[in-house]
Amino acid sequence: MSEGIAFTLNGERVDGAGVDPNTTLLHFLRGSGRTGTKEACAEGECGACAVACVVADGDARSRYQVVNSCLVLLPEVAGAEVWTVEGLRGLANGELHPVQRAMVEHGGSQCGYCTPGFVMTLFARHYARPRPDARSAIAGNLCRCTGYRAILAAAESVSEVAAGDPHAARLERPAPPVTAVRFEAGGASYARPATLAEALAARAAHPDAALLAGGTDLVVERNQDGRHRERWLSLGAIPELSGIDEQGAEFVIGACTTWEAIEAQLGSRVPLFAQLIPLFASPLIRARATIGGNLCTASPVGDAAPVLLALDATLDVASVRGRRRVPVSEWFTGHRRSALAADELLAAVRIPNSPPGAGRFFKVSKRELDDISSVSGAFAVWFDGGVVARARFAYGGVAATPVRATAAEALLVGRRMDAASLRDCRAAAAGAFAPIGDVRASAGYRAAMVAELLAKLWHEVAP
Amino acid sequence: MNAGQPVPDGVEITVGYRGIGGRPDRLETRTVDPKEGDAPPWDANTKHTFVGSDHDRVDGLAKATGRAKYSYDMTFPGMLHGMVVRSTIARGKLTALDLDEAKQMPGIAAVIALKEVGKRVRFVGDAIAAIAGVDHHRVRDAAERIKAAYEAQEHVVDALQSAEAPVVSGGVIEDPWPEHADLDKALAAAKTAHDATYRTEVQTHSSLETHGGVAKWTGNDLEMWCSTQATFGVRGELAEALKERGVKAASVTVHAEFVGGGFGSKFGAGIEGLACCLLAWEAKAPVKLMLDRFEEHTTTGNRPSALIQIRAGVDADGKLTAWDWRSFGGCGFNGRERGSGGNAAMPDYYTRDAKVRRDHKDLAADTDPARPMRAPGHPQGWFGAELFLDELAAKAGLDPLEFRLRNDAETIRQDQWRLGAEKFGWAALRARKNEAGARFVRGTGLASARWGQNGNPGRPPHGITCRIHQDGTVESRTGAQDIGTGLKTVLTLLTAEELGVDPRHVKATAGHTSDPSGPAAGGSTTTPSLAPAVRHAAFLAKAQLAELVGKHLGVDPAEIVCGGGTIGSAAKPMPWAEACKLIGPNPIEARGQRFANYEQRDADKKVIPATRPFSSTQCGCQFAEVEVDTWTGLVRVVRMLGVQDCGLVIAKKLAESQVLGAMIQGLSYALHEQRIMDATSGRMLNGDFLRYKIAGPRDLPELEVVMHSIANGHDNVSASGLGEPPSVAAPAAVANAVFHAIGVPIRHLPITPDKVLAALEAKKKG
Repeated sequence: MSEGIAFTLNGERVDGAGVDPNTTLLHFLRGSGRTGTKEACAEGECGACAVACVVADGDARSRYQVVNSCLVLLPEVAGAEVWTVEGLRGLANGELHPVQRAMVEHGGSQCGYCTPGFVMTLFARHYARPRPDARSAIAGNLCRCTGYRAILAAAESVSEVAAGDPHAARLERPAPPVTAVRFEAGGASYARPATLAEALAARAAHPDAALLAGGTDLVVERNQDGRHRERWLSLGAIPELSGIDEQGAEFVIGACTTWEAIEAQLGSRVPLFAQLIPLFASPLIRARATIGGNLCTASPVGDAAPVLLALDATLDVASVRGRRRVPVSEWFTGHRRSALAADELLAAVRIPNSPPGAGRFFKVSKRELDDISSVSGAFAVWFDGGVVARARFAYGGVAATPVRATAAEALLVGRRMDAASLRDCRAAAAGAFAPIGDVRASAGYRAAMVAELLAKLWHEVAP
Repeated sequence: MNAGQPVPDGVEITVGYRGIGGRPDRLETRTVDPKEGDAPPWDANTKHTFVGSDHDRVDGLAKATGRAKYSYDMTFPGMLHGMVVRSTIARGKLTALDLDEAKQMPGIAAVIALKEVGKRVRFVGDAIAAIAGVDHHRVRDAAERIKAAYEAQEHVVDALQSAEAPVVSGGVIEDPWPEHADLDKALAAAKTAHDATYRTEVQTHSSLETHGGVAKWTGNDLEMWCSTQATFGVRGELAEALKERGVKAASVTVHAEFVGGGFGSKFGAGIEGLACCLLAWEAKAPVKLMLDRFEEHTTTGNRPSALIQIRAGVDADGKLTAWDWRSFGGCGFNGRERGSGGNAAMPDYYTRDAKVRRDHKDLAADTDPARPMRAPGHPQGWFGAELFLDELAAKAGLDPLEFRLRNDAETIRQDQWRLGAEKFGWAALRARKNEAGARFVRGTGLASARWGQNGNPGRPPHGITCRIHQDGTVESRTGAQDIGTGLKTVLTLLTAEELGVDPRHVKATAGHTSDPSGPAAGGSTTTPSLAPAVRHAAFLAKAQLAELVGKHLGVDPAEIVCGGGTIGSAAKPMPWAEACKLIGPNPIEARGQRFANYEQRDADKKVIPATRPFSSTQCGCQFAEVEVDTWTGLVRVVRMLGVQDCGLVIAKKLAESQVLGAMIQGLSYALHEQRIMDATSGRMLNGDFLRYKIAGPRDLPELEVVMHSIANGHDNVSASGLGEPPSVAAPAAVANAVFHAIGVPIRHLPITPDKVLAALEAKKKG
């Protein structure tokens, strides 16, 4: 068990001993004079604070993962290797890194405040195998001077990694392990146990502790309310909670598995995930956000919930009292409330390993990508011959919780997906919910979308 | 050009541009009379080496490496963190304020009142008090111990709900148009007439670096690193506000070497800047006070909303004969005052031959007041006007482009319309029909832009320092700020051009009030106002070097020429570095000045035609193609083209970047941006980037820009402003494309999916 929170920053050891665990990595960097990393929104929306961490890529190699440092508490990087814009090097000492050079030559800066964030995103992309397309890679960075075309041109101009690249050499070795940490400073304690048993004991002892997985929701809340949390329990070092197993007819996904990992491992096996994930926040957020976190915040507009409802997922919940399983349809008990008891942890999410006959995820938001849904819908249909054997229509954004349109589902069973069944299902679904209007959409628009998304489903999948 | 030669009286120059869009050359001659000692004018025949080239932004490297220090980045030993405590009510009076408990909190160094008890509270977020302490947590904790009491009054945060607002029903103004004999007659006689109402919502500037800064006192001397677009304005403002503490303008230095965006919101130090200085004074330590994102959205100004009604008519030839306009600007609490920024501007080049009436009124609401935002009044006004024109053209059976060509009085834009239409494939795109019942439908639209900024001398005139050092390096310095528009690159390229040396020998510095004064970065004034002074400074410094070289070579200094990295006589050119060795330990230093523009007026105050600039406005036009999902109502901009005049293009890559950025920002305004207020609490509901959406990389359409360089002949450089001009047209072009795609106009920005579906529904019902 480590007592301090030392980590490696730009290749040099940095000691964060005595720093209040409520401090974000961003504030630590800037407070110590490393101001290349910028602060602009403190909510993971703009990417100005992007930094790169060395994380595992299999057992023997590693890769750079770019994250929003405003959403990472400093102790989360204990033992980690972090790179910021100040640490990038070209082939020779004093030379610019290729992505920095590309940004200069393509005029990727105007006011320049967002530039270091874009540079770090492009840095991580530079070494990624395979390299993601540039536009998707930078989707989590905002530029208010809106110089996106030049930035994109810079990204696309960068050639392959050169032989002898100092940053590439690092990736040939394993990533630093995520180890247990426990310490107190500034009137707050932070614990990152390495076993589930320890975590359950800590949870039972201090049900009030803030539960930290990816932090992409909780740390935004912390940044906005500014409240000093006295106790943090991080689930980031527990092997049982992250990773994906195929057991019998199921995939068992550890609750702390990130969406980035789910995309990499299940993108080709679970078509609904393949549709969901590109629409699920930005790559910087997906690098941290976890499947369990998305369920535990129990947001009525969380995008994962409808998909898991459509797949009839089952949740493994653990406590010192033992384990239990909860169907996801019984998980959401109210607005931002779940069935998780005060001493429990969500351990895993189980979904069937064979996809439904047809599955669709539709997200309706004001901005096409990287926006919170106004309405989202996940649909799964199983066929028996030409008729429907089972149907799941699940929605986000139309009620206080993610919810299924069960009456409409029932109406479809035993029938073909034709104009008549669509008419009946639309009518049943439209009457099932009374959505509210808010900053994202009017009540009327949401109600209309409930039915429209079914039309879209029929249009796309009706045999 | 000979180095340092005085310019003879009456210089003939060629102004205008070579033909574009298959149209003839627009070249004319002028005879101008530059001020004695000024650099001779450049014109359409001048061949430049560095000006107009693809040179990189000179501070791009500092930005890409994180070395560029913004005000937010300044850090000093013992520095404290400051925060403003704000009102929670939208309207009323502060009845009590108790700071004592907060002062006793651990780690707190200063607590000050910013509002006197008994004063009005004007919006949620009005500054009440400020605190400085050792870290954010202590400061936040202490803020909770400040006890403020209010006498709350009923508030109105929606300008259209205010008492002075017109009655709007079903999106249309109900109040009848006031009578106007001439207009009424012209409208009655029109072949086709139209009447419609348009709305836009409040947009926030959303600069990535928030407002605020770092203040540091040494005795009565104050240094402030301020995120501002007006270093000299901030100095004056602080000196005035702090004069009771013995502070004088001469003892205040403002720094803004790098500024993370402003877009019109950062002309002053603001209450946060003043609070920062007061806290630092009180605490006897440097204080950093930067706003958070919510404060940035809710207390630092915005582009006001607009309600615009237009009625107009055309004759049988499709010429506008009558144009009646009334607009209302949704301002903040100061909306009752004159000039409070709600203005919705109107294009006037379509209606030169029409009977025109224009009326505007600002509407107050209990919110943060409007501030200038990139082309104040224009994007909202042009949205209304240009969408109206497309609706009227449709009624009259005219193609929107043809309609513009028949009515646009500007020759420059007549050429630009044709060039743009050809490049964009206008005719084919407009002829394309969407399949009946198709889910995705496409449409194409266009809109014009106009701005008028050829720079001004300042009062007293702006200056620039140029120094040439013994080692051959050159400095060009201004105290004005570069907010990302590229002022430092402009200084570099103009100086390099004038001296004939490679730009890498020139170091440009901006943003410290210890250097010569310059304008605020607003209204697209900075480059056109300073460029002639930059040249003048380099021209004067060059003359001093020519003296030394002449003496050294035994040649009359009048025969010394420079260029291509040399300076000397035609027979004996010296390499620049060699020549500079003649300079002593003190560098050559020259102070350039911004003279008045060449334009002269006769005794009757009429402009003398021979001295008139080629154009006193900047013209532009933009084209947009959109795809609308008729099932979800989502609009995607597929492609845009901008044609933009900005006088002489100095730094091509940067100029293009300005135009492209303005187009995407316009797309953002057209589709996403909208401040949403809670009527009950008076608070902004989407005061973050999670709910207030600005365009992101995935919104990026295919973009093309044509920089239309014009030799304008208004000063020795003839650069025009470029910050605002390209931001005028984009929202209107997108709205017109949506109109074309779905066959019904969306008269209310932003064009959100619900509005599209409602419009399609209404169309279906007829």
